[in-house]
Amino acid sequence: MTDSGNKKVVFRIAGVGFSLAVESLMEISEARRSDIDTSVADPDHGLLGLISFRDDAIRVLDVRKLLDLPSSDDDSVLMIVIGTDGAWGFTIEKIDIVAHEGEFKECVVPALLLRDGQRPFAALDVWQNEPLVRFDPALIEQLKVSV
Amino acid sequence: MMKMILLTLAGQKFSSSVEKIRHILAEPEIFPLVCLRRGICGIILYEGETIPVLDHQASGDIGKYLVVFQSDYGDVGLSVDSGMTIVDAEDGSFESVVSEEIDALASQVFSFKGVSYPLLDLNNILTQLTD
Repeated sequence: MTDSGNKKVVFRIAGVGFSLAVESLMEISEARRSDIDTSVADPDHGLLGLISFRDDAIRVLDVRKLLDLPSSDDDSVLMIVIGTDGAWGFTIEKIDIVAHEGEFKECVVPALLLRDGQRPFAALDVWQNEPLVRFDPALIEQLKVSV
Repeated sequence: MMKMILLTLAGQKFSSSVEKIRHILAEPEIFPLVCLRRGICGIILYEGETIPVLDHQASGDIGKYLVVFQSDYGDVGLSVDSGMTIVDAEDGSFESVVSEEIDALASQVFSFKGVSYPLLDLNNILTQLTD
């Protein structure tokens, strides 16, 4: 049996590095646009569409839009995470590595850094001298699209 | 004896008291993040601390050095274009800027050898940062 606990996935979106606790992750697969039912897409609320997952239809959120990052058609990886009200998916450019939690050092977010009102992350994880945004599905799904 | 640093930001000359400078770093890596406050372009890591970097360069270019200033809001980095000069404050003079000329960056000038160097007012700049 392999040790899958206390690990974090390091991934990138638009060049920004993120860390995600493995316990928040349900699946990593190839992102295929054709798999996403965009008939229910709601760009104003950051919803790309729905996707079939384990006999259910779950939301695919446009995390780029929610985080005010440039859009791209080149995302190649679909991540399914556990949100507050169930699973949801989002696409990313690539996964760098899965590393043991002990390799990450938590860093406080300077008060000056973030816009008032929205808190897309509560902490930074420093990994190999790079600050990574700690990806918390519960915080991300509460974000509103910037106008 | 108070020392002043003379520097260039986005092609403009400025001055600051050396006492307000915490570090001067050569070409540190500036990391992008998400949902940053307008006026902040990223952060640097220095001795385990994260320091926001002000995005004052209209061109978007990053200067050769990053000066980390202490402010009422914590440490903040400013990218400077080239070399810096340190002089004794008593070799120059301080003058108030007439109100029409006051902008976000300075409300006083330090005059040295006939050249006026607006005195950086970091607290004022940071106060004016908006979402």
